[in-house]
Amino acid sequence: MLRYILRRLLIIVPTMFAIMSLSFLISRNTPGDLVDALASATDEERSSARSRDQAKKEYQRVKTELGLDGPVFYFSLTSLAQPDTLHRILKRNERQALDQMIARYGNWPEISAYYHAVCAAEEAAFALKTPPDLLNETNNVRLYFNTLRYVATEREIEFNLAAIDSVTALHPAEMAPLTVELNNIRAKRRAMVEDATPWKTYVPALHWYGFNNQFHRWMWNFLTLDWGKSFQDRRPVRTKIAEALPWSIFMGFLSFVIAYLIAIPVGVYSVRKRGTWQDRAVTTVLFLAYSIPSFVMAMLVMTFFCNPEFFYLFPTSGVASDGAENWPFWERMLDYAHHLILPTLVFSYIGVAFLSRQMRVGMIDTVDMDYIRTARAKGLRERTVIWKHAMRNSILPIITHLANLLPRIVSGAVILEIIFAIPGVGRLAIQANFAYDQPVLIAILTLTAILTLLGILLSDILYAVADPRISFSKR
Amino acid sequence: MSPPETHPPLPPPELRPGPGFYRQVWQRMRKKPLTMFAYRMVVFLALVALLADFMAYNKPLYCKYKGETYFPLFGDYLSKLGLYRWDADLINADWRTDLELEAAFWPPIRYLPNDLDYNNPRLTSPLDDQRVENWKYWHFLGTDRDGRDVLSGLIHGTRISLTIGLVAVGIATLIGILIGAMAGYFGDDRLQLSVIGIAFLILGIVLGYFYGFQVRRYVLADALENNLLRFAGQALLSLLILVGTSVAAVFLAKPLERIPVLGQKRYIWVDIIFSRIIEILNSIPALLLIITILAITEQQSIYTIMVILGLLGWTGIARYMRGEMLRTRSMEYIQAARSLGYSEWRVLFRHAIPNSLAPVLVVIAFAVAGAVVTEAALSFLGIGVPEDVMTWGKLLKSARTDVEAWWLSVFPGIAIFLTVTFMNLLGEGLQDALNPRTRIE
Amino acid sequence: MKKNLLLALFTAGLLLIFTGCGSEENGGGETTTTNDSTSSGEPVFGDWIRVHTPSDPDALHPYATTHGSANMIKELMFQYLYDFDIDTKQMTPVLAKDYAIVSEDGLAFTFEMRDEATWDDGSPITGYDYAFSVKCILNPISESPHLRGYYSFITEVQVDPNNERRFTVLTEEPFFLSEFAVAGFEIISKEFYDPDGRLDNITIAQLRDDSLIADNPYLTAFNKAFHDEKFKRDPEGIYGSGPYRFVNWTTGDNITLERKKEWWGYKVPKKGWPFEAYADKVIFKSIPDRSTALRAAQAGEIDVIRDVPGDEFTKYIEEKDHPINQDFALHRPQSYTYVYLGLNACPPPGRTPVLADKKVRRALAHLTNVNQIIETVYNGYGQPIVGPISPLNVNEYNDNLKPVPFDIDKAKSLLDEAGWTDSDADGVRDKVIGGKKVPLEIEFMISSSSQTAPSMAAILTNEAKKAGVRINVVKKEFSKLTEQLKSHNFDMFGAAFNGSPLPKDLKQVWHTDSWVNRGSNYTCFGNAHTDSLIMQIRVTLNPDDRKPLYHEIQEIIQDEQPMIFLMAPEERMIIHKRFANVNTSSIRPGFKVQQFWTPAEKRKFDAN
Repeated sequence: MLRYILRRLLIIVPTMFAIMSLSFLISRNTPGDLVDALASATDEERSSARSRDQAKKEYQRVKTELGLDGPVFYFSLTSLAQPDTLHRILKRNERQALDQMIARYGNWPEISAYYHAVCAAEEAAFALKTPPDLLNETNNVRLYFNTLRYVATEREIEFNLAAIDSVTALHPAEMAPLTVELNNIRAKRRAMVEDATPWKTYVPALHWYGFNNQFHRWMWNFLTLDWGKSFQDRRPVRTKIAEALPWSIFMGFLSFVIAYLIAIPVGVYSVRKRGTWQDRAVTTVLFLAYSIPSFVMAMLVMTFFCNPEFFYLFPTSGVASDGAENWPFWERMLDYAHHLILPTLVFSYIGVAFLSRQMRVGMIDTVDMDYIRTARAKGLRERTVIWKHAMRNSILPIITHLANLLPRIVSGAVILEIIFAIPGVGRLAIQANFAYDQPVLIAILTLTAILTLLGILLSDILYAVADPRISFSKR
Repeated sequence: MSPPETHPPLPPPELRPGPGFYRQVWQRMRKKPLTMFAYRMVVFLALVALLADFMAYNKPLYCKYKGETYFPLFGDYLSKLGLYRWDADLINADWRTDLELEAAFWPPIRYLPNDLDYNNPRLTSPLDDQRVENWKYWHFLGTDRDGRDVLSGLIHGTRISLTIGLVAVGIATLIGILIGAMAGYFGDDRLQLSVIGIAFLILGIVLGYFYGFQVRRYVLADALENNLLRFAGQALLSLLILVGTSVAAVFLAKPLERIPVLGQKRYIWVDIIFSRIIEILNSIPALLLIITILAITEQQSIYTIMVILGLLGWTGIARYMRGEMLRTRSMEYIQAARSLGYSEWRVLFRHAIPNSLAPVLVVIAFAVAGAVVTEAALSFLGIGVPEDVMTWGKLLKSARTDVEAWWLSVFPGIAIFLTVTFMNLLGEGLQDALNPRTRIE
Repeated sequence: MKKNLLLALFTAGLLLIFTGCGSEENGGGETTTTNDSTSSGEPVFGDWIRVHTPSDPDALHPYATTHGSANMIKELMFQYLYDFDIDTKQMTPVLAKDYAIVSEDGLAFTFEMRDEATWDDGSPITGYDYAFSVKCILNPISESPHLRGYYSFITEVQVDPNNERRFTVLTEEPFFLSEFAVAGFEIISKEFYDPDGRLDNITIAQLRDDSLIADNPYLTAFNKAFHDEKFKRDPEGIYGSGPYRFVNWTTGDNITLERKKEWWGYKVPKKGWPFEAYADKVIFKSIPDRSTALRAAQAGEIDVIRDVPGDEFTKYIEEKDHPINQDFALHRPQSYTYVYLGLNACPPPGRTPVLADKKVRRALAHLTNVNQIIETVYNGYGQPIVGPISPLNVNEYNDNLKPVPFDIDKAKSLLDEAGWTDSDADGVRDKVIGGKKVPLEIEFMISSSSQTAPSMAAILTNEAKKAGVRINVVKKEFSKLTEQLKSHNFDMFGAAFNGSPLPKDLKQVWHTDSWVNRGSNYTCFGNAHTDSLIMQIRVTLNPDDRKPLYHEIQEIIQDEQPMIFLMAPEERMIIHKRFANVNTSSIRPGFKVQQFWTPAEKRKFDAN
């Protein structure tokens, strides 16, 4: 048994590592350029060359702040064509375009030369001084050159080059410097296409980056409880979660307790009345309740009990009344209770239906066992048989359903907290989701996963301790 | 939100699949009126999903216009297939108001879910006066804020809900059965490979990943952008490359096994590895994971949701299959097949899996219910479902901003509730039929 | 209003289709005074006011906030040199004693602080505080670098050595809004925010030029301290000259402010909202869902709600005996906000340039059923508009222009002219572009948090379908959307703009500079001529001379149709009837809670 527990504990390490990698993988695959979104949120009015420079600095700053610079993982499995320095390209969309070209042509030196030619041309276009009547044309050309930096397909490149051509052809004198650049781009592009070495993309290559990578830093930070800053308000994620967590834990714990307090007697009652109409009624009600999703239930409950047009029994939302923070302790507690009764009931409702059904099934299995029959045969009262003998054996599996219930409660909480406006972790997660607030979302995801994992571990160990008949190797 | 993790008790050995096993199960199910009722209702829902257009559409099924006979609904079908050309004046016409039809046979509901009735916007109650021409245009279940017909939305929403439920669970079942069966059957002590074989297998997997996915990543991305079917094909090809390379690697290792050190046999921990994967997926709250992944998928469509629900929802089925397999693997007929010298894989696919499938049906029924709920929850939160698709969850969502419009919460709520109830009932009935012992005397 | 007035002054920020939690629009407009709750008798202190906010602000830091909901709260704690007068809609002096003395060339502005104006400890508010505030804003490494862009035209602040309340602000170039700009940001206490005087030896000239200030240890140290968590949400760290003091913040639930019993404003003989404050507490209750908030109001938990959903509001108006009407007065001032659809007029990277053709843009405008949108989406609370200037800005508005009428046939013929026909009879028009048949599909991006945009998009899609135009509605998150707009990677988007009683500076949105440089000219409007018009407006200081310029550019904008201008919505708010002296206006947030007072007999909360 000790071996089992030890093994179980050991195995959790790679599992946690895998969960963190999974979270990290998700967070790094967000579409679009987060850095750009954040950096440009703060650079409204930038026009001169100086501010182009500044924008770049700002981009770099935000990128470092978000921990997005450097290689992504300890190693990367790429092709021979891939340089191991691609992560040094500042902007994500440009990096992606280059990657796409590498996948097609496989000759990094030529691709790099082409990229630098485009960058130089773009600089030249922005530096170009043209007479005011050519303003629109110049602006268009600038835009096209800028676009060239991050497009990769033949069609898109051709489209942009042709568009620039059409402008420079009309104003050869004014756009002369650009024609030079354009020819340079064309030459580099020709070299890139003609000297393509696609075979290189079929030769696998393993790059080892060492510990100075994004994942390592992220994981280390995560484990040392530094979860970064929220994109929404730049507050530390840890503070935000710390503020939200008590509500969720409180609600979760309370609903667990309530669920068990209701479910066990209901299950037992149903078994005691097995076969009677009471049993059938209880079973039917439980079955129907089990089929109503908690958020549908929440909506209905709210419509009828928080709505002055029907019954206004409970406050509509939130967790406390105004000014409650100055009330005496007991009044304050009562106030919290008043606000939280309805959400808690709906929360625990998720568990009640599930647990009662489990309880009933488990009990039925137990009461059919021989020793219970013996007890009955001995003439013990049914009540004693059920509560003393059957309970002891069927309560254990129910306790371990905690592990199954935990993820359910968390998932349910996500929607319920939104509906009841409880400032918990679920609501935080949804808000973060809508705001593409990756640090918050990923921290919550990882954290809940780890907590659930620990919950499952705990219930497994409990189970093992309590019921040594379990064959551990099979679990 | 996740499919129930109830593990139905297993049928006793004498009921194990044999000829006529499924017929027996069916016979037993037929005796239970409630199960049969649920079964018929599920069939009814499927019919509604299938024939939604015939029940609610904004064009007549048949009509006469300017002396000519039209079948506009079929015309739409044909023109989508490129077999029919609408006349210019009919293409974008509103058949209800623009055209003077001489005779017409209409579907019972004359609205599509996204048709806006400007005369009845802002939450028209089914009980209030409605500004409609005659009762045939009545919004029987009211309208939403923009004047969309709720009943039509419910009917067409059935299609979305059931399709998502079935496809997602279909994907999940495939993965779940495969992984669950392998984990349960092989356990940690049945699949042996030589040391060199294991090394080559790992190498094969890495290479297979490289050639299947790394090299082909832009092929896959392009296919995803263009056409979902093509993407499915390409993804399958990638998967085949991965599997093929891995298998080839193992075979390549064969000649090297003669070298004594490299030839030593080792057991592969199939169960431990797969169980860890299941554990990881299970420990992340399903809805949260789905939401996070939907946040990084750029294409919003119901297909994306189906695939993601499928790819993440297989753990329940896999766990159940694994449990089932743990028992099956020691059955006599399996032992007999093994002792005859059949390969482990053959025994697994030819004997073990087919004989353990029946109880999985129960989990599948529950899983469909679970997927329907998850889809409704996602639409309710406004995540993942595109703008122009009407679903039950979306109707329910509009009830959140308009609480007084009880018809917006009650009817979709009932639809979700009934679907889930029927699927659950069916699952229960199936479970009872598979295992008559637990039936309550 | 006012994120340091920057929204109002420099074109007013963009708020993508009613971000739902939108609280950044700006206002002015009709002042409505409440019917039965106008002041009777002398104002008395006491009672609490509970105001609904759709979300928590990110912080209450004087500068480093980005959330719209912060402004309404900060406005009770921080003050400006000038602020809008509700009645006249003019900027009137608040902290300043009087309007500035402007130099001949319009570059120097001399202000004097009010004699009464003091910080909480009784020390006077001086020119040094002003100079310090400017330095904080111009700080190149601050967390709010966007502000720097708006105020970088301030070159120097000279404090009169003989009278530290008197100071002169020097600016770089003439600009018609200079005076209001330099008077339009929060003045903060140098003593409180920089007790060690780290910024003393750093000049404004240094701050304006990055190269001169690189890695200055004092600045770095100051910057770190200035953006400390303490100054963002700690009651000890929020310190301003306004009538209220921040006392508590329960995240996700409420923010509580308490009235300062000894506040300098009470000593000012002249009355007006900036010098009044009666309620003992102002509580901002955060409830994301507006209908939940309304139910809370009905239950007596909230006193003020803005942006009431249109149909709820209609119900209150129609049903006289609705429970809301017993306790609440309805207010609907006009607003300077306008709602529009932006069309991408430049060839978008990697997209078919469908909308680069003016005829197609025109056709879309004809397909937009504005009246139906106002009717369905806004329940009739709004007026059609013709351009970016609000009709309330009488001096600038060109009233010769007529809105583009809803006309499907006209749209069809325009599309035919432009070469878009339905050649394959699939219901969607198409055209051969570059050898490839392209269907007339337009992607319409809306903000995912918007409440109204989906309805609007539904109507547009519905009508466009009739002309063979397919519109695909795509929801995008705000920052994502902005990012795509900046790189001109879109077809069509929906958004709203704020206005203010001040004349509008068109540079940010309409100048070609902000088109290529990822600025706010998303639609690629403009040419050399419009640019020169815009720049001319900026340097023309006489309003009458600006008028023809404004008129001309409005005509050009309507002709080019880079945007489909929809309507100017009306504000819809409900305020509890127990308050007296409730003046609503469309100057954001639409009311001044510090004016409200409750007659003793109606008081709801004890004076404690």
